[in-house]
Amino acid sequence: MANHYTSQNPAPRLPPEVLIQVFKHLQPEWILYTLPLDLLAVSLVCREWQAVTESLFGRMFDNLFARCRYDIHEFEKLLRFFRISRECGLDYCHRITRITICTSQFSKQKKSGGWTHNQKAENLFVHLFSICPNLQRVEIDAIDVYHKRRFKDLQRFYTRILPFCTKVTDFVLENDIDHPEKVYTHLFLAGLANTLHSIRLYEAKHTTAILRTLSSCRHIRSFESRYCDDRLATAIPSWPNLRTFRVAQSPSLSFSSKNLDSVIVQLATSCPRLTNLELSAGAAGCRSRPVVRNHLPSNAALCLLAFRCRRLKTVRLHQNPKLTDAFLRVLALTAPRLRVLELEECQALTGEDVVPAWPCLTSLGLRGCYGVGMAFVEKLIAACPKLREITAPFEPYSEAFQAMTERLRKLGFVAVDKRQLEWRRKIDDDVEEQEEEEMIEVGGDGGEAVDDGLVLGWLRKIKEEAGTNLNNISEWEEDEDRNGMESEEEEEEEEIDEESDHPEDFLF
Amino acid sequence: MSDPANITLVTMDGTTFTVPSAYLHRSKLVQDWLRSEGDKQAMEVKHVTPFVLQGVLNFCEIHAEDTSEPLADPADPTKPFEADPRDDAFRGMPDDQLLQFTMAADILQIPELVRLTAQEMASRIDGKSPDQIRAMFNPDDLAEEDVDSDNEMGEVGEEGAISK
Repeated sequence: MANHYTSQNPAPRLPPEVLIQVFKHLQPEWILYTLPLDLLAVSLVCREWQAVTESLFGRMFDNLFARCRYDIHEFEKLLRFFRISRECGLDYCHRITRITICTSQFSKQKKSGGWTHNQKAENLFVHLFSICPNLQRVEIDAIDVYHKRRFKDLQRFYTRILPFCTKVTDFVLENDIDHPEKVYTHLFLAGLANTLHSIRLYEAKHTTAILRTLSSCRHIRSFESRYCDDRLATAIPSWPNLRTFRVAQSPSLSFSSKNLDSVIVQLATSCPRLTNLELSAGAAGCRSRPVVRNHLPSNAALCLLAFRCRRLKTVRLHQNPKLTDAFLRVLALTAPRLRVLELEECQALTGEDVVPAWPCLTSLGLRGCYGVGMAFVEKLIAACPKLREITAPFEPYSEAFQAMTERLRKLGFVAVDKRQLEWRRKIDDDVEEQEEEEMIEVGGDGGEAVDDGLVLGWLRKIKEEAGTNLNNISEWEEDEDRNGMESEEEEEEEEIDEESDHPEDFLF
Repeated sequence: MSDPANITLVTMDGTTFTVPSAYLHRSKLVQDWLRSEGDKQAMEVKHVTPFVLQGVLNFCEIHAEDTSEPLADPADPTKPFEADPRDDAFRGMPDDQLLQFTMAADILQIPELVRLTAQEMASRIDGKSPDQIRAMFNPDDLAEEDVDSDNEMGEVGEEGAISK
C-alpha cells in the first residue's frame, strides 16, 4: 500500500519519548572509544530533535575527547558538525571545556611500513583549539614519542595551540617519563603559567627546566604527580595558594635516594592553605617490585607540616614506617577541620596517649597499622560524632579483631567487605556546612601558642636527619622568630593578593 | 465483549481487523483496554493507518508464541540486541513506513516492536549527516523559524520528498 502524505495525513512527527528510544540506540554504553557523532548529527536535524538529544548529552561535551581512539575522518566529521552547530546558533564548541590529546594520533603508517607525522591530524587539532573559547583543561598523553623527529613535531604543536589556551587552568601530562624537555613540555607549561590552578604531571621527571617552569606557576592550588623527588622543594615556595599536594609514588620509577623531607618542610613553610596532603605508594600493580622507601618523609617533617598547615582536611599517608604517634598528637592539636585520615600500613603508630580532637572527621583508614589498639579506635569513635567510615587496623581473624567487630557492631557500624575490614555507619547529618565552618574557627589562634620550642626541636632533628640539604631551614627559623614577635593574623580563605610584592607577609 | 478469544481493532479510517487476543498480549495499550473497557465491541486505534496496523499485527502474530520475558526498557543500553531473522521484513521497509511503524509501536505500547523500529531507525541514522537524516525522516528544518505548527506539519508533509 502506498503512503501519500497529505495535509490530513501528515508525515508522523515522533514524540520526544519515542525519539529518546531511537537516540539511545545511537550511542549505546557498550560502545566505547568512539566520538558520539550520530548523536550530534541528530541534534542538528531540527529543533525538536535537538531538545531531545539535549537530555541525552549529560556530561558528553566534557568527556568528548577522553576516549581518544577515533580516526581522523571521524574527527574531521566532528569539526564539520561543530561548524553546522555554529550556523544553527548552537555553538557546541563553546561547551567544550576539556581536550584530551593522545600524541599517537599524530602518527600515521607509511606505505613502506614505517611511521610518519600526520600533519593533517595536527592541523585538525589546532583548529579544534582555535574554535573552543572556553577551554579549561588540557590533557596530553604523550606516548610513542621516541624519535627526534617526533620531538620537533610535538614542540611545534605546543607552539601552535598555546595562543588558544588563555583560559586553561588545568594541565595533565601523562606518560611523558623521560622527554619533558626534549618535547618542550616545560615551554608549553610556561605559556600556561599565569592561569594554571591545577597541574598533574603523572610520570614526568622533575628536571631543572620543569622545576623552573613550575616555579613560575604562582596560582597553583593543586599539584599531583606519580613522581616526586627532593628537588621539587625549590618550586613549592612559589605556590602560596596550594590546597592539594598529592603524590602517588610508583615504586617502579627510579628516584633520588634523598627523602622528601625538604619537600614537606617547604610545604609547611610556604603553603599555609594546604588542605589535602596525600603521599601514597602508587599503583597496587607495582607491588611485586621491591618497595623503595628511601623517599618517605620523616616523622619530624610531617609533624612540622601538621603544625604549620592548620587547614588540613584530608591526610593520606601510606606505608610510612617512620610515622609515629607524635604526628597524631600534633594533628589533634592543629587540625580541627580534618575530615579524612588515612594512614595505611604505618606500623609504628599505636594511638596510645593520643586525644583525638577532630569533630569533623568522617573517614578513618588504619589498614595494616597493626600497632594501633582498639582503645584508640573507640576513643576516636567517641570523639568524632560524624565518623562514617572506618578501615580497621587489625589482622583479620585475630583475637583483637573479633573483639573489635563486636564493638563496631554495637556502635552501629556495618561491615561492607567480606574480610570485615571496612565498616560504615549512617549518620543523620543535618548540621549545616556553615555551622561547621564556624565551629572550627577556634583552631587558628588557640593552637598557635602550643609550643614553638617543640617546633624548633623538630627542626633541629630534621636538620640532623637531612644534613645540609635544607639550606632554607635557617631562613625559616628567622621567619619563625620574626613572626613570633608580630601579632599573628590569618586571613580566612582569602586569596593571597596576586599583586603583593611580599606574599610571605601573609603567612603565619 | 462478544468474543473473548478475539479482539477487533478499528483504524483511523474505519477499517476493522479482528485477531486473536493472544496476539496482542505484549501490547500494554490493548491489555489496559481489555481490563477497563473490554465489554465494548471494538477498540479504536487512532492515528494508525490500516497498512501499518496490518504490519503491526503481522509482527504480533510472528511473536505470539514467544515466551521471552516482556521487555522492561526497549532501549536498555547495557546489552547488545541480537536481530531476529523473523523480523527481516520489518527491517527492509522504506523510511517513511518505518517512521509510521515506530509511531504505531509507541501508540500500542509494544516494547519489542519499539526496540525493533528504534534500532532500525538508529542503524539508518548511523554515519549520516544532519542533512541526510533530515531527508530520510523529514522533520522541520532547524534553521526555519517557528511557524504555526499545524500548517507547518502539513506543508512539510506534502513537499517532503520521501526519498529512498
